[in-house]
Amino acid sequence: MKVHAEFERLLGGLLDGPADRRRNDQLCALLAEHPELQREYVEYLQLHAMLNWRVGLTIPDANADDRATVLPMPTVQLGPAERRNSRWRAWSLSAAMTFFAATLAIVMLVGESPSRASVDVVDRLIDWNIALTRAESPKDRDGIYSAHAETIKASLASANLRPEDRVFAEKLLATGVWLKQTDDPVAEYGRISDLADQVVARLDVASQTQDAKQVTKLANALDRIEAGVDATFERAVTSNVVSKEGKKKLAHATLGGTLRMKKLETILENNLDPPRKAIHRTLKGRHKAKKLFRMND
Amino acid sequence: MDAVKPSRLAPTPEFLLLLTGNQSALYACITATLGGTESTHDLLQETNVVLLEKSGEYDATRPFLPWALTFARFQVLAWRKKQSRDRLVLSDALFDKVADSLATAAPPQSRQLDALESCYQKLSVDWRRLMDARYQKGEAVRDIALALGQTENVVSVTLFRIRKALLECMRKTLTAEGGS
Repeated sequence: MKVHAEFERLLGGLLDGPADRRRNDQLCALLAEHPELQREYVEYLQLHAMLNWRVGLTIPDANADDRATVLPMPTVQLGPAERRNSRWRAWSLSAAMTFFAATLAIVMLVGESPSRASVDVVDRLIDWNIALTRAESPKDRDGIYSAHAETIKASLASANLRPEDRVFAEKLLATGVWLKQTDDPVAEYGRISDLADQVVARLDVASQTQDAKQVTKLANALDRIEAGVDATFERAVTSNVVSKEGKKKLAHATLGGTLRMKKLETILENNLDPPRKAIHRTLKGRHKAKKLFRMND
Repeated sequence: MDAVKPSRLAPTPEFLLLLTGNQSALYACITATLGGTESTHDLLQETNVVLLEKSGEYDATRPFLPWALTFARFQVLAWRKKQSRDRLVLSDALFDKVADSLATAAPPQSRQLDALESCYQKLSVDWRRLMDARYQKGEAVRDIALALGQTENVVSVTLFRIRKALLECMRKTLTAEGGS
């Protein structure tokens, strides 16, 4: 009994206290002397890890300095989400298979018909970016870029946007320009994933301020951007990445996608209908894509 | 300049699924061998890079986590060699024992996380606030004690009591579900 109380005291110090070599030595000696406590030690350390994991995840930083970065995900709730995220990723694998059907829809969305004239310029920028990611060749990409770039730039210049929408729209425009000049599937996957991360961050803010209209709008935007994430993911993993840097970027973006879905699950829990339906549709979007492929198979 | 080590095959989507699905388990196992979470982030990152490099060697008919843990173990070992004794919690012998036990009985992490979430929600409001302060806000015990007008020792003991309650609840939950 005395031994166990000492074990708990030392372990508590390890989990909550400052670094202390003497305490560590005492704990180590106790664990060596009482092997029956080793399993308990592992259980507590793993619980400690899980408690950290459930409130904020760490994923590799794809940037060059080789340091890890803690993503600010302060309210991530786990639970069934992890399994659902795996399903989400599985759905994403079918994205390329739906390429043919989806390309047609995207091209129609980007098209400049009169009925689209009043469509939010941010939506058009998103659709333009997604169409660029799905181009089958650099030539196709150039064509998609040239066909819409000037019109979209003009629309953006004259649009009356909220400051945060303008910032995001400028990022989308810069991404479109960047995509035209790029032929690096992993970098494209990372870049589109970053856009999705930014939407989720804004979605979180809108959710916390209970701005149902904005939540719905952002969830719809995210739904479409995730289609681009899926398309670039498929290209990235089949592009025979061999460099260490490329693999780090691929892992970073892939793990980021998992975190994003976890965050979305949390936001989903905090919203009532109708925004809830829009978020739910985003989470289940890949599933719909899979069904579409089967219908066309 | 980094020496590029080409893998035999690029990581397959299936491999990435396994890698992302086992992040929390790798994180928990690395934490247990380190004795804390301070360097777990870096080591998980390094382990991920190695696993991607070795993806072509993975035999998909075998469980992923034990295979991945062998590489995590090498990363932790390399880390230990670079540290002063002050930063190591476990002795070499104890490290080997813990790493061996994890490799042979790696936990079904997703079920444990589900159980943890369920049990966490059952904590009393006061206990949940305390755990939120410690884990969500990352507050030090000293600051929590100051805010609550209690001694550091009382806060530490309470935190440990909550962890004990969580572990007990998780055991019961997992047993009720038909596994441990």
